[in-house]
Amino acid sequence: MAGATTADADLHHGDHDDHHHELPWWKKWVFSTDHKVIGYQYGITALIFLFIGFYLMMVMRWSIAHPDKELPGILQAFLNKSWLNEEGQVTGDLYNMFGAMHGTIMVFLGIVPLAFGAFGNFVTPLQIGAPDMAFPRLNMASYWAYFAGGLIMLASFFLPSGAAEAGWTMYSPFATTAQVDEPNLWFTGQTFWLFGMVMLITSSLLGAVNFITTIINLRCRGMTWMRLPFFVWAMLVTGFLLLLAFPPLEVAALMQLMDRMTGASFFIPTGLNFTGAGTADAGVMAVSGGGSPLLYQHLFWFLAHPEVYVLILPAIAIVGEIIPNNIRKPIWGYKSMVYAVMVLGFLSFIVWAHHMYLTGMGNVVSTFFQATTVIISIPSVILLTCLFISLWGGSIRFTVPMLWALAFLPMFGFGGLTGLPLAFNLIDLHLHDTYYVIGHFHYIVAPGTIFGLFAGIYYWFPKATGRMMGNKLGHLHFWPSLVAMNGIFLPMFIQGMAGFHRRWYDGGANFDEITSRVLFHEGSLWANLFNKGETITMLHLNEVMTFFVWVLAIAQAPFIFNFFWSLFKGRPAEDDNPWRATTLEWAAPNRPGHGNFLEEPVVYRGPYEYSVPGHEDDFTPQFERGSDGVILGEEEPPDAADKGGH
Amino acid sequence: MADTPEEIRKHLKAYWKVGGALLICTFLTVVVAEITPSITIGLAIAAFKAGLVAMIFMHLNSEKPMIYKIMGYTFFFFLGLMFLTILALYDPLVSRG
Amino acid sequence: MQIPYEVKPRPDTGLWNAKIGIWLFLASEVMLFGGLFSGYVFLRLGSAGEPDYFWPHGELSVPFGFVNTIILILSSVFVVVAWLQLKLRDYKKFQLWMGLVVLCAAVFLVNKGFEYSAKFKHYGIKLSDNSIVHGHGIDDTIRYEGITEVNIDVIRFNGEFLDRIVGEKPKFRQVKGGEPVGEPFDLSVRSVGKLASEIDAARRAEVEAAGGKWYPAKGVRQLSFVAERAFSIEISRGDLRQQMPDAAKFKDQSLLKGDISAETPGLKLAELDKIDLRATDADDPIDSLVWGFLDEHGHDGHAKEHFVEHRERLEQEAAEKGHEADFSKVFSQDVEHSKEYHASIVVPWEHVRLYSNFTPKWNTYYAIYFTLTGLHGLHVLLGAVVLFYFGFMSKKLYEKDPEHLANRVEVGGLFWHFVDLVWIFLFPILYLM
Repeated sequence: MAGATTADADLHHGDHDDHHHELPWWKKWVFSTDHKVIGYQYGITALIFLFIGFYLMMVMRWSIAHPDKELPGILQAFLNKSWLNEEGQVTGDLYNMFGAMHGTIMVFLGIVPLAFGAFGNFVTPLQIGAPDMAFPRLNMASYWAYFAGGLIMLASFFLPSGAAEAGWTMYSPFATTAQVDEPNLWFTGQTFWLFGMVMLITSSLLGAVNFITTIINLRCRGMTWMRLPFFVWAMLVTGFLLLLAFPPLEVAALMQLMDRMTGASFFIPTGLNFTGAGTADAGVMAVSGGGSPLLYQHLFWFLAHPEVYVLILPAIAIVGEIIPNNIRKPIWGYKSMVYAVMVLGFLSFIVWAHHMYLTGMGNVVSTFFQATTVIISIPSVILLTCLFISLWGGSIRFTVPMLWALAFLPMFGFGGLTGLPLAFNLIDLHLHDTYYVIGHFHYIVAPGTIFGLFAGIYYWFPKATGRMMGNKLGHLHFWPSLVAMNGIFLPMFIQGMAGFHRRWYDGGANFDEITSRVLFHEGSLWANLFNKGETITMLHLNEVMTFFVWVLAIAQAPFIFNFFWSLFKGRPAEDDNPWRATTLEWAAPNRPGHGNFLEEPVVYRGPYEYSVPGHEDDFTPQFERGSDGVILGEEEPPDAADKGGH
Repeated sequence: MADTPEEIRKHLKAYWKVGGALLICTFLTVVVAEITPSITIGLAIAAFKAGLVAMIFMHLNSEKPMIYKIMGYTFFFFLGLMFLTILALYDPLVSRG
Repeated sequence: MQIPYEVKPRPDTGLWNAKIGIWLFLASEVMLFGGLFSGYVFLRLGSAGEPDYFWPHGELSVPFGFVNTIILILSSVFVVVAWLQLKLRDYKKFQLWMGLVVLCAAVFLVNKGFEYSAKFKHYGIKLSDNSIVHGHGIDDTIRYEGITEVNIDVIRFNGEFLDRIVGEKPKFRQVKGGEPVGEPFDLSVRSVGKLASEIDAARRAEVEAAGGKWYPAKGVRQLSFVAERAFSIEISRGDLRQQMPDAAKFKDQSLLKGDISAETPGLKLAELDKIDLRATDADDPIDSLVWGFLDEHGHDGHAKEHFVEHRERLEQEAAEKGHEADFSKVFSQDVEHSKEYHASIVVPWEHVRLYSNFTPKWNTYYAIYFTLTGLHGLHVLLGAVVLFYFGFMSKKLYEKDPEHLANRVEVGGLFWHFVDLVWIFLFPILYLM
């Protein structure tokens, strides 16, 4: 029989080692060192940031689709009206500011903290049978560093200059010379962005140290490397990506800060002409020059490429847990997936300049990066293929988590495939900085990663709260979201191939030659159906996409309601293992206490023993001995000293 | 890591010797810089000193495989960062005027 | 609840948690300093293609750097000796050696302080024809006289120019449509703010009466004022956003129209120690602008003669050795005849291209030097604080679990060795090459 006893333990009742008195509420919920609480903190904070980033995008899309119209009241309610122009329209400057912060907030304050900080923290120690992370206080410090960074980023909106506006990529020299008309450069959005990034990078670095150490050293008895759930492998690789790739960005941020605040010229080339905001500021900048904008790009993309794998791996990790659980069958190719994810992590460090094909690099360098970029598609395809093949012959349960996990597969697949043309510099010549690229990466992150994260929230909700999330509301959340995501991002490929640039604040109204290209001629079926018989041009797609943005926004309402309602009124989980899963977290009681497990967890078998022939149940958990359980990794007695390797 | 007092005292001696070697190498670096403008020799001496500190002071010569793996990957990526960036500088589309 | 393997190593990996943790952290630090080193190489190799930028050599004090290197190496030995004393359970000796480590760190940082402050006091001026002078005693005061008109950016105005007015502050009247209107009043952030709100309120009433919608962008942005009498301001060039021959713009975008006083015709450098003419635009360095602005305190233009002699000698040497003549040292305190030589310079403002003390602004060499040594210095400071804590605030842990303390000291020591390791590379790269 699966599951431990249905002990509905409170956080302070689970430990039997130190009999200290109950912790005060602020130590239990605010300054907690418990990985689960830290996971909740990351999760709630990140979800709030995701919604803020979503709002920014709604204003942007309004500007793209209706550049001449006043911003609607409901969107005006959350911004400083002095940012709008005299007619209440979105200006180019506002668009740039929101664009830069949308990217920054979504990537650094939303997805990574939710995927790595929240899910990673909550699930990893439970899945390896550990009582907590290796360094609980460092874990708490990581969260508060993230919080501080997020606060700085949010505060920047309230500065007279507004928030940063040089794109989420923050390229110098624009980033260095933006907002220099303010009397105090310390209090500009550009500067705050740099400080915020330093805090966020610190948070990620400390978190990565914690994760990797925990996975290496705190696995419970019997949890050998090849018996780890795929989720943990993905988190291990993600940890390494964060650990080794973030420091060069910290260097770049530091250098840009020096350029801005001390007048250094790390990224300012010699003889750069700088025209201030329309006044007599023209002329060569009074700095030394001698620097290189390319240096910034190299340092930035050295992080930012591994960063995109940080964005996707946790989602693949979550989907990799939910799929075997809901097909009642092991993952096909577990070993291949493990090796593929390690190779993926390794290769991700040597592909970065495929973001820089148009910077004037020569043949040797360009060929190298094209080759590595094409090669890195192989492990990604392996991961996806294994998950797809797993479905064959499975007994599929269409639970709400499974809906999200299933949708993830083709959405991520589509997004990934659209990246392949971009790997070739000849094609990139046409597609670089167009909507094609935006469509490509949003497919991966929006209907890709975010779907995976939603799947995880529905899946692990009972473990965290002891209750199930509402099923009907889950469907109401899922189906419109799926349709809307495609409605928003699919047209982007068409626009991109037609030549639509990214970062056009007016949707391309001034680039008639590109935007007036015909999609459907007048009098055709589609034109008759959707545009009163008139020609449908590429420009009309903007309105289609913006319409679906509103649909997506409304589709999140059932989720928000479901989440909070189920916390208090959801159907109680029937026991500690409502999904009938095999991995170790389901051995802990729901709402696990400090220390997680009531008895020392031991692992007797692999992580996905579903439908094993000869077994009564269609699943055998890792933590159940049964008749054929074997404890590996203990060929020598546990107190043998200095045994190398694993 | 030694455990007996005798072994520890042996280590102590070794550390002082290595410290002395490092001081001598530092002096050498300055002398070499006065004689030749060669950057290679200076960097080679620095690398040798760094090797001593890493291997002996930081006990990397007797560490566990897991640590070797971690530092191995790191070193590889460090080289990637250094050389690919420089290669990009030397392999432009249009040669610099 | 106890976290396993905090002190005792795990059997299969042979490691205790913090050991893994510190090596992971050091791995990230390798990438951090690696990023900076790759930046250094990128900038230095990139400068090889620049016709006017010569990567500086010999501008840092080798003795200071050498001494600091010795100090850090010794401190590395001390910390590992301290750790061994702890393993031998000799707490007093452990504290002694830890104290020496912290002392070394303090001396290192004090030395660094001397080095940095020397650079902060040393200035360079780049003239409009790309010739360069170095020296001490900068005076960048500018006096603007005869100011009557003032343009203010309503949103950014912070009143800073008012503090710079020489003598009593005049009253101002608002200028509308080219004519002064209203009563004279005292200008301040408050009074300007009040005026702006009144104007905005009037505009808003107008717009809404006509049935329109008010947006702050319709509000007033710029206001002009005229003073009831001409006044002067005295500022340092660094206070200004932009300096023009007939106007001064402050950092809050306030624009004041006036003339530069004859007392402050240019940037003054009281004590020169180098003239660098390698990059000068003039075809012949003898025609560079520098000579015209030099003041040689009664030596009647010998610098130019010295330069001519010196140059001939330099060019001869160069021809023999087969490379370009190095005009960077045409005028140094160690050139013969020049030990009693003193010169100062006044560079007219329109000929000042760039001036700065020897900080990141001056060139990319100082930019990377300060960034590298500054970040490294921060690591020295942090490491010293941690080691001090372990050395002098650890009695309780030593009594409870000495092995745990030994592990922590080992972890701190590993960090310290890394800091030493980085400096081992920094010293030759920045000081010697």
